[in-house]
This record gives sequence, structure tokens and C-alpha cells, in this order.
Amino acid sequence: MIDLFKGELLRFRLWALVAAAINLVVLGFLSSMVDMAQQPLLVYQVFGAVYAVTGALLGMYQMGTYRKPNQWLNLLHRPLHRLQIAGALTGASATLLLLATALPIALVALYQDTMTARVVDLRHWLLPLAAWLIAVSSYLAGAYAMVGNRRYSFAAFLLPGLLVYAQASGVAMLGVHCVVLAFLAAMLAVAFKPDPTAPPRNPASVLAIALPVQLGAYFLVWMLGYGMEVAWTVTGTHPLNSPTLPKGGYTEAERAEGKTMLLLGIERSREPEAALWREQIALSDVYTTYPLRNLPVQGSMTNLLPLEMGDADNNVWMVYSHDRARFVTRGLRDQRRIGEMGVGAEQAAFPAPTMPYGATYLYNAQAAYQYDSEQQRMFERFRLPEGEVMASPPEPAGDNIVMLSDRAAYFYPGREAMNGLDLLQPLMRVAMSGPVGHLGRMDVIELLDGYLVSYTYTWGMGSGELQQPFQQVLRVDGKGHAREVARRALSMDLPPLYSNRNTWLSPVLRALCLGAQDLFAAKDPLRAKPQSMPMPVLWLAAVGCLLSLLGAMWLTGKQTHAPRGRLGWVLLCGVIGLPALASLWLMYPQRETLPVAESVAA
Amino acid sequence: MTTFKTLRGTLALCALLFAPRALLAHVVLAQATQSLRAAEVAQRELPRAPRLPRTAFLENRTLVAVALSPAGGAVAYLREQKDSRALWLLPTGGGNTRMLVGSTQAEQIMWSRDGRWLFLRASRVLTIVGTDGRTGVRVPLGGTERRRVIKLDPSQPAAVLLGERVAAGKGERWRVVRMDAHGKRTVLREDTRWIHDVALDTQGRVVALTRFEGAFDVLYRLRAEGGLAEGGLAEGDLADGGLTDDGLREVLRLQPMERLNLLAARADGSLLMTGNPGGNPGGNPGGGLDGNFRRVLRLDTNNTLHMLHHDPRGEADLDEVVVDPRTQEPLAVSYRSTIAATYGIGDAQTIVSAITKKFPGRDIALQAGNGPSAHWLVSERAPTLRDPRWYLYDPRTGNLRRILDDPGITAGSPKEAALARKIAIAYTASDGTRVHGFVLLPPGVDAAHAPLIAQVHGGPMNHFSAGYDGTAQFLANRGYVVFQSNFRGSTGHGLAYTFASKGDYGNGRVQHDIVEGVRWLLAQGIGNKDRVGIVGHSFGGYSTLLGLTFQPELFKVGVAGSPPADLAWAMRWLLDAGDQGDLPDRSLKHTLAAVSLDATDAATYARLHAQSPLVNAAKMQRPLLIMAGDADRTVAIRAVLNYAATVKAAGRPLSLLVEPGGGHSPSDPVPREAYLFGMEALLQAHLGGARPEAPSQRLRAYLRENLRLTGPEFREFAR
Repeated sequence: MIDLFKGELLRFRLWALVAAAINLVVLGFLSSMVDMAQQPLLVYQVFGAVYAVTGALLGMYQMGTYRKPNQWLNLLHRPLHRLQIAGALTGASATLLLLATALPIALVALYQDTMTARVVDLRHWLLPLAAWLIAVSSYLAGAYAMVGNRRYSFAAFLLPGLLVYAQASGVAMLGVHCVVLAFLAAMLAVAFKPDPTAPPRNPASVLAIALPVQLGAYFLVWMLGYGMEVAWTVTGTHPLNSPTLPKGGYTEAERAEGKTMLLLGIERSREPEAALWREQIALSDVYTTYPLRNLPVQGSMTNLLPLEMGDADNNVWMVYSHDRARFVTRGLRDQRRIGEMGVGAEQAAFPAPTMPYGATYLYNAQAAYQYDSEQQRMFERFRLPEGEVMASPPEPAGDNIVMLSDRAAYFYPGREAMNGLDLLQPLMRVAMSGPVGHLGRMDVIELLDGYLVSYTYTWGMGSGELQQPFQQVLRVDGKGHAREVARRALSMDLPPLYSNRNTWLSPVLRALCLGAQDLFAAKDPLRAKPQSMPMPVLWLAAVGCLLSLLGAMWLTGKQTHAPRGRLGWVLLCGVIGLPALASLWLMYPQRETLPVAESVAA
Repeated sequence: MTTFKTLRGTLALCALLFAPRALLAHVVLAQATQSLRAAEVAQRELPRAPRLPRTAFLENRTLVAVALSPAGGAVAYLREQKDSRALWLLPTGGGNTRMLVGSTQAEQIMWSRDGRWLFLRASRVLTIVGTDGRTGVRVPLGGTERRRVIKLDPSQPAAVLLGERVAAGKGERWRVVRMDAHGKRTVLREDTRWIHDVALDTQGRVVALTRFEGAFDVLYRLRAEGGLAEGGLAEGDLADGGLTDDGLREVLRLQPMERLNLLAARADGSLLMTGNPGGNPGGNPGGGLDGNFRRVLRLDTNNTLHMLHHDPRGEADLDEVVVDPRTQEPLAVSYRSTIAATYGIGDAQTIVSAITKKFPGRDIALQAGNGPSAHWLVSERAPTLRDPRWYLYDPRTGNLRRILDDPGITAGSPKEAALARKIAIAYTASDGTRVHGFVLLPPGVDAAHAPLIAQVHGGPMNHFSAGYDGTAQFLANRGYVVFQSNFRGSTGHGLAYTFASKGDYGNGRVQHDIVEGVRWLLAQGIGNKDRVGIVGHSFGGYSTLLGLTFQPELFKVGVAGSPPADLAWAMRWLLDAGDQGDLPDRSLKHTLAAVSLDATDAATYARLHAQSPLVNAAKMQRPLLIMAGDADRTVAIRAVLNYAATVKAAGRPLSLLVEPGGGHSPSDPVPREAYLFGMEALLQAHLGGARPEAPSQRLRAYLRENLRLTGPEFREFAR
């Protein structure tokens, strides 16, 4: 095994060294210009994608060279257990990927940590590990794709895709990486046998292989739905691409300008002041706020946006450190370490990772701050009540400042916000009637005293998590008393059976996907619980499962299954639905029937 | 006939000598009336002025500032050419003009006392330049430090006094800092309160200061043992515990609306100042003076106030004082609230008198040179002069020499003959109060049949003065007679006149002063009663709305700039959210309370609210144009929009022009021209006259973009 391991190391050593060198040169070059620890998410995603492709290509090439029948037999025809052989091959590749991906990142991190004043937190030391796990996961997917049955083996690539949607952060995210890696390793182990194309017999192995195949089928059919939209567009019949959008729909609400949105909201209002409001909306500036979908998370390996800001007047560059819960300061021009900056004169720790916005403002999940260049200090200016979370940082809205939490909009005095550095007290609080995770937008105009506030709940329509979009308009008086003056349900524009196809195709797989997305993730207050599905969708799902069950009964009759295996597949198709039936068809060839009877008769 | 005239004159003189006071007033008024009629006749006889382009009435910024050096040897001036502004130096003794700074944003020039440095103040920066071309330091102004230039430091060869805020955690302190031409800073005082002004002795020590105490200003003297060490402290030497008031001795406490500016501290310890303090300074018996008019004062070492000069007519506040550049002693004073007049003080009377004789009937502003033989700088002004004319006066020869008169500077200035004559008037309101104002009579126009526009000033604590007024001259050039009322409640005529409004700013006494002024003019045969309009900005806009709402039989059309449609709401908003409610140097609440405009008082609020144009919007039936800026921090745009929406919802046509990012008044050229165009177009549509000059492509685009409501007069600009 060691010899095989060494052989594989030697076989790809040059490629690995070249890849490592390129990686190091690119990272080193970029590090000489920018702080690689403070890049936007997209940069890390690009690097992650490159590592994933590298791993996948290695897996496919390595296993592809052994996959020809005689070579495969030669490979396995050793005095070793098949899994030892697999371990030697994958172990060598994992080692090479460690060299090519993780080591350059670790070296650059070491350089930044020891030779520059840049911030390197514990979270950054997890990046080499994450990069390596991404590469190895993709390698395993590529390896399985080549070793397994080509009718369905490429479904393995869906599993690393989970990493893009996973909500976990930091160490928890590494846990997700490990789960994916373990699953793919199990799949390869199942397939790594003398006849790798033969379907597994062990129920656990069957499930391990079937699940990605079912997900592939599920994903494929879901994507085909978009193909239908393309067809609508090409034929000019797409309801959302017509010159006039469907009246009263969520698309209209998402695309409307602020004025239109408010006017639509009070269109049928019978309030005595409605006529005045219509005139005032037409004349006024409308302040539209779109809630945040993510906040910086403590220990997260990547950044939504760089957590840094500069003060050219004082030659200071400030970078937030997760480890210190403060900004680390260095010279803007000379790059020399200066010190740390916390909140106020006490230099207190920030309660959560804090993100700059605008020239001098910052926010985190609980509060917003202002940097005062004159004193070179950060002052807490806006604080949310205990238990509420920032959904949109403070922005001007006419005379005052509006800030959104996960439960309410807060209005603060604009003059005091501009003229002082004190912690501001809100003038008014306007509660939301729905969860912020479904809030698509908030539109506000100033009235003589108070505001007209529109909350529009449309977020989650595309994924089926929102089933009852609506708009609510509130009249807020000068003392902050809010009164609903209009509410209207929004239509879904596209047929519900189309929008909710990810549910009726397989409610179980949808639940599984949502669960996998939240694996090891902390609860996100900016996300909303999916709303329950309409009954027609559930009925259709039931019909799909029944058809799948019946189809499985028919299909398994034409395939070779043990009675318990057949029963298991029929039940699985009944529970999972049509994607399971597709996986059954892909994984098991039809039983060969020979025209023996006629020959004998003849 | 001649005998009859002589007899009539003698009778009139007798009547003046022996008539009781009321009768005297009637006689004066009768004379004023006669004078007005005579002026009207004279103006009617003149040829009609050509219609001038709107841009001719916008403020000319070619010559931004002019300043005479302390020795009178040179004149520094800021001149704008195309988009660039430069600093030039003109030797008064002859020689070539030379450019010192090629590009600057400065708006004000101050000479150092030694005449070797120039302090150039722009809105955001103070730049120091040597007369030999050396560049000094640049100091940012404003910002979070709220740094401002208090005055030139008269005790130093080349230094200014700066006021600045020092952040102390979330709190603040206020410093007075001396900064010399090389940028060396010396802290003269650090205080927990805003310091308005300081007076220094010859050693450069602060010997007096005026400070805002939260509700009122107080003049303090600094005892020798108090305050900071001699000559001040270097930056950073101040300890937190150094903010003691031990060295301060209160000598004068000012009431709201009373102001005081320190001119100088004499060697004998007396203080020279301008202002309108009344009361009883320092508790000194017999030390009080009537605090009605703003004038030049001396506070002696016993803290007794002595008047150095006041308006001889007894009707105007001091407008401007000229000081000796070396001693800061007052040399001349100007009053401009009614008829502009300038007088010399003490030894300077001879020179000032000699200068004024050379400009009969004109308003002059002076800058004195240091010493008997130094040149004086004279600027000639008039209601018909858009751009002042500049002269050098040589006291040795008595000669005047015109300077800064090349065509590049004077180009585009309307000819005086084309502009309207501005006449100070006074009329008796229905309650017997004498109300001041001005009327502009266009040349070549029969005033009896001309449309009449009442122009109302903003504030209301403000006033029209005797000088050039671009908007009024623009309207006059379009054939309108313009009436400018300095209704009671205005400034410029003493505190008693300001307080005489007694807070009746709704459809009450103040509005009646304006209405009665219009009716008085109509009664004098000035203006066509069927062609009367009303225009105004800010408070003037409010008065416009009041006029259209409550006096529609008089005012047929109105143009309101940034109008608060409900003064009660607007005053409360100003306190709660407006910029003026949070200024560190004054208390708006106390000022408003002094003039009975404090809308936090329930009764005041209810009274003003009930009489507001907003509450009575249903009565507003006249054509109206409203113009406002959407970043106005004095009159909330939300209130303007609310009023416009209310009128629109009631089905009345009106037009609304909103300047994007605009403040309380338009400042950029296109919005300013749009302001004039809007005014002209609406008034012409309803009061007659020639059609407005077609707007340029740029102006048309601006109107199309920013007219949020288009009445029938502006339909062609609707989007």
C-alpha cells in the first residue's frame, strides 16, 4: 500500500509542485498588493472554485487512467484489500492536493502574520484546511464519476455543490466539508470493486449511491423548469416579460419604484386622508430600504465585504479582528502597526463582527457606530433592543434616520445624528407584521407629522418558502403610533405548480436539501421559516409519490432485485417520489430476456 | 405765484414748530406722500427701460471682495474670471497690478496688521498668503471642529483669532486660538461655552469676552489673575481642570435679540463695541442706556455705557462700522434701514464728510488707511447699482480715483437708467403705528396703472435695506411697481419695532401691516388695484400664502419661495429638528419666546396654527407657484410638500418647483434663474405684461426635470 501510495505521489509530483508554485505565486502577488485576509466573498469563491476544479480534474484523470478493464483488474489484482488500494490512491492525491492548495495559503498567511501589520485571525488559519477539503471533496467526486457507472456517477458532483449553499460558518463549516467528504469517500468505497458498474447490494450502500442520483434527477427536473421559462420568453408568452406586468403581482411589487409601490398600496384605501396621501406620494421623495440577507458572523472564514476602513487625515487604516473584537490600526501610508480601537473612550470590545459602510459609519448585528476622525474614536450611535438583530443599517430618510431590525423599523433624529456623537434614542418604532426573512422592501415617505410606511413581503417566492406575499401600509403619526391603513395580498404571477415544483417533485428531498443547507449552522434571525405549501401542491406531490410507487412496482419487475431489495425500492419511490423512480431506472439495467422459448419451439 | 409758495412754506414751518406731535407726524407723512408723488411723476416721465435678460439680475461675482491694506498702500481683491477666482494686488501709489494667487475659493480678504500677509477665508478653508508671494499655512474651517475666524488679532503683527470646538468624549469645549501667519497656534481660552467675541489688550491678553450662557449672552471682563497665563498657552498645555470661570466678571447681561460686537479695548480699560444692549450693566446705578437701536458704544471702567454714535434720524439700526486698522477705534458708521447715510466719528468726521460730499444721494462704504495721509477705499453703492464702484480717496489732496473699473469687471451690469428708483416710505397702519418700507418705481411706467407686487422679506427677523435688490429690480424691469414692507417685527428699526409685532404673525397685525401698506400705496395712486400680486421667500413665502388665502380680493397671484405653510408647525420643527434649533451660539427657543413665536407654547401654537394657510387651504383659490429646495434645513420640505398636496387634493391648480439638493435659497446659477423665470412667468400670466424671454435649453431641461407640479402657466414644461 505504501509503495502504491509513493508511486502515486511520484507520478503526480511534478504537477503538484507546478500547481503549488502557481498557487503560491498568484497568492503572493495578490498579497503584495492587497490584504488577502480582507477580500469580498467573491474572491474566496473564485479561489474555492479553482481548487474544486483542480481536485475534480485530478480525480477524473487519475481514475480515468485505471478505469480501462485490464488496467482496473491490474490495479485491484494485488495482495491488498480493495479499500487499501483506494486508500493509497486517494491518500496520495489528498497529500498532493494538500501541497498544491493548503500549503501556499498557509505560507501566505504566515507571511501576513509575521511580516506585515495585517490582521490574521484564527479564522484565517482555517482557510488552508477549507481549501484542501474543497479540493479533496471535488477530487473524490471526480474519482467516483470515473469509477462508478457512467449512467449516474456524475451525480456525485452535486454533493460539493452543497458547500455553496451551506449556511454554516467557521469551524462548523469545516464540519459540513467533512460530512460531504465522508459521503463522497463512502460512495467511492462502494464503487471501488472489481466490477465498479454493478449496482450495490448492501442497503446502506444502495442509499449512499441512490441519494445523490435522486438529487441529480430532482435538480435536473427543477432546472428544466427554467428551460420552460426560456421557451416562454422565446415565444413571447412569458407573463413577466410582457410590457405590462401582471397587476397586483409580486413581480410588479419587486420592480416598482417607491412612489408606485406606495400608490399601489393605498390604491383601494378608504381612509379619509388617502386622497391627500396620493398627492403627497406623487410629490415626495420615497426612501426605499432592502433588508440585509446576511450579517458578518463571528469566526466566519470569509467576509461578506472587507471589514476595513481608512482615515486619510490621520494616516490610519483600520481592520476588524474577530479575535480581538476590535479594529486593529496601522499606518495608511507606512503600513506600520499602530494599535487597536474599540468602542468609545474605553476602547470596549465590539459585541459582534463590525462592518464599515459609508465613509465613517459601521454596523454589526446589534448596533451602529460612527468613527470620529478628530478624536480617532468609534462611538456607538444606534443600539437595537435586546433580542433584535440588524436588518439594515441607519440611512437618511428625510429629516430623520431610519434603521431596520428583524422586527421593526426605527426612526432616529437626523439633526442629532449629524451634530453629535451620543447614543441616540429612537423617535419611533414601527413594528413589522411579518418576518424580515420574507420582507422584500420597505418604502417610506415623510408626512407632515410622521410617515407613511409600506412593508412588502415578497422574499422567498422563487424558492417556494413564501406562499402568501402581501403589502401592508402603515400611517405612523408624529408620536410613533402606527395604524394599518391598507393591506393587500399579492398574486404569485406564475402558476403555483410551476413555482412550487421543487416541493411536489419530492417533498422529502426538498426537506432534505433545506436541512442540509442549515447543517451545523447557527439560527439565522434574518431568515424566515418556510410557509406551508398550498394543498394542491401537496396533493400533486402525493400523486407523484403514488405514481412513483406504482412505477417502481412495474420497473422493479423488469429488473433484477432480491425480494427485500425490490420492496425497499418500491417503498423508497413511494416516499421520495419521482426522483427516486428516476434513480431506480438509472441504477438498475433491465433484466435481459432471451428469446429462448421460440428457438426451442422451433 | 412765488409769493404764494413762500407764504405756504412759512405756514408749513409754523405748523411744524407749533403743531402737537401727532399733527407733526401727519405733516411729515404728508411731505413723504408729496415726495412719493413727485417721484412717481418723475419716473413716469423717463423713457421706458429696455427689458434686460434675467441673468443681469443675478448676483455678480466678478469682484468677490476688495480690501485696503492697513497702511493704505495697496488694495487686494478677489476677481473671478470664467470658473477661476484669483487674488490680485493693486498698489495705490501707482504701478502694475499683480496676481498673488492664481486660483482660490476665498470669499473674504483680511490684511494682517503689518500689511505683509493676507488671510483668505473660503467657506471651508483659511489660507494665508504673503504679499511677496510666499505661501503660508492652510487651515480647514467648519468641519466637526466648527472652526471659524473670529477676527483679525489686532495685538499681533500677523495673526487671526480662531474659534473652534474641541471634542471631549461625547461632550465639547470651545477654544479661542491665536494663529499667526506661520501657523503657530496659541490657545487664548478654552471654555465650556460658546465664545462669541473677544477683546484683547496690547499685550494680546483676552480682557473681555462675550459668551453664550444657554439662554442669553453675557459680556465678561477678565480679571488680571483670571483666565490663562500671559500670552496664552501652547497647544496641549491645557489641563482638564483649567476651565475655571474664576477670572470672569460679568458686566453686561444681554436679553434675547440683543447683540454685541467688541471692537477694541482701550489702554484705560474701557471697551469699544457695537450693539443694542440695554438694561443696567454691571448693576451700576445710572449705567443703563436705552437698548432700542444698534449703535456704537463705549463701556468705561466703571462699566457705564456711553453712546458714541447712533442714527441721527432715530429710525435705523447701525449697519456697518469702519475702524482704524491700527487702534480699532471707530472712525465711521453707516445706517441703511431707511435712507442710507454714513457719518464720521471724532477726528474722522472731516474726511468722511469730504468723501460723502463727493457722492450726493449715494450710499458709500469705507475702509480706512492707517494715518492721516493714508488712502481710504470708498465703494459707491445705490439701489440702481448692481455692482459697487470702487475709488481711492487721498486725504492729502481730497482727490478720488476710480479703480477696478475695467470692462471685465463691470461687464453685464445693468445701466442705472434702466433700473427702478427705490424710495424709502413710511405709512401709518390702522392702529396708528408708523410702518417703514420701500417702493420701487420703474422708469417710464405709469405707476397708477402698473401692476403692483408686494414683496415680503424672510425672517421675519430681517429687513429690506436701502441698497440694490436683484429680485425687486428684476420685477420692476418687467414693469411692476414693487412694494417692500418692513412690517413691524422686522429688524433694522430698533428692538421696540421688532417686538411691536407681539407675536401676531398669523393673519394678524404683521400681515395687516403689509396689506395696509399695499392699500396705502393704491390710495396714493401707485399701482392698479386689480393687478396686485404678492411674492416672498421663507417668511415672505408664508406671508404670500396668507395673502392669497385671506386677502384674495387684494392679491390676485402669488409666488412663494420655501414657505412654511403653518408657522406654528414650522417653528416647532425648527426647534426640534431644524439646524437653527441646535446652534451652539444661540438659543432659538429664547429668541422665539422673546418675539412670542415659541410654538412649544400651546397657546402660541394653537393661535398660529388656526390662522395658518395650511389649515385654511380650502380658501386658497388664487394662482400660486411654490419653489423650494429638497435639502432645506430651515423650512422642512415635508411641510412644503404637504401644503402643495393639500391644495392639489382640494382641486386647486398650483405649480411646484423643487431644487434637488437645494438649501433654503437657490445658489447655483440655473436654479436662481429658474426662480426668476418662474416668478416672471406666473406674474405675467395673471397680471399681464410682455411674455418672458424664452428659457435656454439648460433652463428648460431644469424646469422639466424639477417641476413636480405644473399649473396651467407651466404646462409646456410638464414631463
